[in-house]
Amino acid sequence: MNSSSQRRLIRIRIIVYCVLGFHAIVALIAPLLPLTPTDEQDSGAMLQGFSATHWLGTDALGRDILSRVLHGGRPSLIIAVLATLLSAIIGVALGSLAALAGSWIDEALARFIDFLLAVPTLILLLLIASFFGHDPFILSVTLGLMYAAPIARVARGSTQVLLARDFVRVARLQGGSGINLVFGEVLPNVWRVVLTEIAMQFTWIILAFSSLSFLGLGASPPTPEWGLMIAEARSYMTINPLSVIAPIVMLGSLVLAVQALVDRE
Amino acid sequence: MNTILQFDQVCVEARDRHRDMTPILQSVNLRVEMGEKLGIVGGSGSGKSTLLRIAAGVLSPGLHHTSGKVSTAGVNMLAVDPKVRQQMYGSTVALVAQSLGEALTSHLTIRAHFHDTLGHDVNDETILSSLGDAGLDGVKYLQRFPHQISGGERQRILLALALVRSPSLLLLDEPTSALDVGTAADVLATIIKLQELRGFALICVSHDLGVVGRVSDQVVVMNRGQIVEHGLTERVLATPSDSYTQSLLASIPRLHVRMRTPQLSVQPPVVIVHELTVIRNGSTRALDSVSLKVGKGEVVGVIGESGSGKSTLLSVISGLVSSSSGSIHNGNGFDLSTPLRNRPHAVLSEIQMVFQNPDDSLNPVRTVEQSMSRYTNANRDEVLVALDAVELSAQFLTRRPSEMSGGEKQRVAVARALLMHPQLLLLDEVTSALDVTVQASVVKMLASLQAASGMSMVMVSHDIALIASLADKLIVLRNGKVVEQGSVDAVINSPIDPYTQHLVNLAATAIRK
Amino acid sequence: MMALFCGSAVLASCGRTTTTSGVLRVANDAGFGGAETMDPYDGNRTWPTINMVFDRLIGVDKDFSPISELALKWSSNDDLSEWTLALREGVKFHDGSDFNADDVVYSINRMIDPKFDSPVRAVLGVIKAVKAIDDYTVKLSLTTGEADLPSLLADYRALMTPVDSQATIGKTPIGTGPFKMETFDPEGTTVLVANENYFLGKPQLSKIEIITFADSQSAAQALSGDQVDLLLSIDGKSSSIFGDSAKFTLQTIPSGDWNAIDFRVDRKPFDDVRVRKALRIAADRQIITDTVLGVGGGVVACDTPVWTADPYRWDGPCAKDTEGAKALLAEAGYPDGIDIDIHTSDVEVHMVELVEAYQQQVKDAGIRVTIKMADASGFWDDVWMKESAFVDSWGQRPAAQVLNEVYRSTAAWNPTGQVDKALDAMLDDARSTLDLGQRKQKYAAIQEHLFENSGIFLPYHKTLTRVMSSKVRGINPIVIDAVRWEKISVS
Repeated sequence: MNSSSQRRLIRIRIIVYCVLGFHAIVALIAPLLPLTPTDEQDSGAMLQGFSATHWLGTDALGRDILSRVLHGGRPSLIIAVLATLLSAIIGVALGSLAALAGSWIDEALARFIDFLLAVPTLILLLLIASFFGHDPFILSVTLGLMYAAPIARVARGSTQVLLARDFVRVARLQGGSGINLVFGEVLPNVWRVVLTEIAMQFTWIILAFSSLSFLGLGASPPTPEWGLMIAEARSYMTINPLSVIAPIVMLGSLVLAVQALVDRE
Repeated sequence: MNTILQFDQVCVEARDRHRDMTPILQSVNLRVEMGEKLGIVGGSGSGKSTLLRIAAGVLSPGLHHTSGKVSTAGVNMLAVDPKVRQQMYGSTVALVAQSLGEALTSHLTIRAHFHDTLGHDVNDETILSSLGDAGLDGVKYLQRFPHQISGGERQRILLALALVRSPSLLLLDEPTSALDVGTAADVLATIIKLQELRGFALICVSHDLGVVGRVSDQVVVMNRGQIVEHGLTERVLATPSDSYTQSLLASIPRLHVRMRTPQLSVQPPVVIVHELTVIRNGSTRALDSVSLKVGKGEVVGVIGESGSGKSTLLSVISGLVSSSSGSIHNGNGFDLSTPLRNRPHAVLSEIQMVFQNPDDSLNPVRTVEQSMSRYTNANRDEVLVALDAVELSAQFLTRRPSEMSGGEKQRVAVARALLMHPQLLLLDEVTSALDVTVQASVVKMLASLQAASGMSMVMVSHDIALIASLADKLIVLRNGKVVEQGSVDAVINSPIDPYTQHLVNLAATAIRK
Repeated sequence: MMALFCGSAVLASCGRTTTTSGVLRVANDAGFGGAETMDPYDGNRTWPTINMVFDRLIGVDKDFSPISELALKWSSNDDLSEWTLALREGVKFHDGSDFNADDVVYSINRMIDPKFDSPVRAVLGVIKAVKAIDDYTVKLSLTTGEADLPSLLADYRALMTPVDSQATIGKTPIGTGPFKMETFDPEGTTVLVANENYFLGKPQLSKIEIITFADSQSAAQALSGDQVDLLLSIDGKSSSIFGDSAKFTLQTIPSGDWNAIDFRVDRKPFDDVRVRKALRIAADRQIITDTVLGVGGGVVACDTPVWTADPYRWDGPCAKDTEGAKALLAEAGYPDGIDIDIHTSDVEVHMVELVEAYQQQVKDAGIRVTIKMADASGFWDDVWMKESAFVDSWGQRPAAQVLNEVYRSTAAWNPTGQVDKALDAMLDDARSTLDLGQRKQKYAAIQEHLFENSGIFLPYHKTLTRVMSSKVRGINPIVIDAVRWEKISVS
């Protein structure tokens, strides 16, 4: 690798860290910032562009877009963190259990993972949301379960490969088994692969939740949430493009930065 | 005579990410004439493969040619226009690389490989005669894909492909390292015959003095990027002048040189294997009715070609693989077909195993101390004692696998097994991935360990000389069956089975030309 | 021979262009995904095309008073239960046949046929029987007295079709209207040509093209790109992109379309009239109207469905009364305020924004609203009238119709489930009152009754915004039902 492309990689990495840092800080401190309340409507100033009082203009109900986009990541992030944790736990447990157990259990679990992968996620989410409503807990659990499948597949494959390696065989000969092998020998060697997969799932979950909100089944109005904001603003795209562009930029930059972060190795 | 290859003061360095430089070749001078047969021998990291690849105009990524002149048939292959280099490949110089699996393209038939090399208007007769020269008969190979032929056949096809455009210089990189002893000898014989017939110059790189001794007139010994000795093969093998060459020669196991005195008295058994059969993929018998008794303090050597079932035997004894029929018990009558997780700790610790590949034996994320104590629950003092037993210092406690050589890793693997205080140590080709000098020291260490602890060993190897130097008893496996067994002297001195006879003959003539 | 032939062809085409007086291109929504029909009584009728091809018996004037279309004169008996209509003579359908009383009998029977179940039946179901007295006189017998029958007959779908046309009218409509069908393609471009013999005068346009767009965004783009000449309605907040008055004409037209938030009066806590009233007086309707529809986008309503141009409209005071709302809630047992869920969906424009604006407005009265979003596809079937509180949307209807259709205890679409015998009696009384002044008083009383009792929070009637190219002339700023298509021209 030559040095100019290396410098370019370093530059990209710095940008990625800056974007992620920005999102993390904004998500944490948005409620503390001196912003207009996200649901404060101004019937005298709807769909306005940049101004001193509304830096990013206002939406169709005269609400401050800057305040709303800065708050807009919190619902998805909370759901995504919960669901990702859940999917990581389920995925790693399922995948390594399948690989460890072998024989018919592995066969059955592998079919189950394939089945989960084959289920059209968004359609299932729509079904769940229309049955159970917008309970964030049920959404997190469903998302966590659905997005566990790719993690389980990676965990199963990595565990299978590692189980066949000599140092794992030695561990078995010296009395290591089950959870001990998974956490002691397997995961320390595959954590990067599994973690990459988990981070990818994190971004898919954020996108899935925003898509749900866009379709009116994720966050409920007037919650500031990027997907919902895009949905609400799309009819007024030609009047105030900012109302659509701002949440898209926020959502896009977060998802791309996380993917770039895990993709770099 | 014409000079086909010349190196003048050639220096090559490796540069890593931190710009640290490691010398790979240091002022190498070499001259090879037309028709000459040169062998290059040395341990891993000696620079022998780099030298060979530079002769073919290839420099691996990360390496830099810093000074000196390289000339292959009057051309510096490293600096020449890629088009010219392309033309010279095959017609002037041909390289047969080490890795057999990757040298052929998996989705192309053998005929297609020849078409790629010679052009599509070539007729099958030319291909067939070329294959015939390489010792392969019949049209059956033309339509086959690389995965449908054996390792020996693959090596012959690579040879035929390399020679089909009549190069003046043939470069062979470890031509037999992936082959069984018997197959290797046959392939080498074919190479020698072809060289005599066509008169091309030949450079053969190997870590195995036996191989080099067989094919070359001249031999170059390399160590750490330098040529330490260069001379007539016969002279170098008989009276080496350099100390490294001497240690290299001394390290080669000799059929009748013992590391320990064979024990012939009958001892109480530590493991009894009775009519053991292992069936794979529904019908293949990896082991077929094998019976075996290992006495206390006994060292049993198991030999056989690849696929003979020798590694499977160790896996079954260790408990990693379950048998299909037959029985296996320890000295106290405990049924060793019990799965590992159901065995009492005392039974579990009785049998330990060390594996072939040192890079795979240790968890890459752990230090030596962590690897050794994790399952054995040994404290630091015990770990130090075990390390001392394998002749490693306390410095190694905090090292990780990436910071150790292959030999050191194998020693740690052995030390880890020792911490369980096993009655039986299973050794699966534990030295085959090591340089010959390292191999000798590991074998010596194993011999003294055995003497000190009195534990039993079952060791598997394809090298009959190496195994004979340690074992009391030999078992020869073929297609999963025991074809011969007996005391080491009985098997070596009067082998009954034809395969054993062949192995013994090869080993006996290994160093002589 | 050859040369002559070509010459005549050129002449013919020249002759045609000289008679052309312009083409109007109208943008239309993709309403029913290809299921559109030209049968005016069918639920999937394609609008406004039917109004260009057919005529009503009675039309509406600029001031929404009934005017003659195919009927010249009308009169009723004393109790308003029998109406006699005199038809225009000499009117011809597009195929050249005469229009007469048989066609009226056929048309009205189809409208009120329970088997066909036309949506028009909801309007004209009051007609019991129709009879031809002679070729140009018909008599309508009603189930009850109805003073406003002429207004009901002016429904945009109550169009006259020729006898026995049911099988063919959907695709090949024959009407008496100013334009004749040339190509019917409800998913592409439908082409109409002028009916030179139209009884109200020869149309100014030679042709109308009705071009279908997937959504209002692309229709708006098409107008700014000069690919169409007329958008019948756009969102008020979007009208600023057509601010260039040299190129576009913007018309704002008060309409009777309304949105509402409905509270089921048969469920807690909305069964308490005090809670219902508190929910309705806690909001500033002007701010809600401005926020949801844009400033000037609508006219405040005090929970009455009767729109501003309707002669029976009641404008009653309904200013925001936070303290009053709090007091009512406390009285009803909610001194600390009340939590309610309101269900909505983006099934139609403004339906989510209405709840969001309402939520903001009633906060300070201690009414805490949680917005529940529903899937748009299931809203009308699974949420509307099923949940306890939900948004609603209705089109313009005359007072008599809308009050009976939405509020009468027995109405199929009574969304709040309110059973109010007193209201039913007031409705019966009002519709059969002969004197206009008295009738107005009675209808006003009904609307005041609703403001006190009903479960429907109805904050506004929408003002429609119509945009057209400035080349288009002759479209008055009035509801589309009253537009005279034959008078439109394109310069």
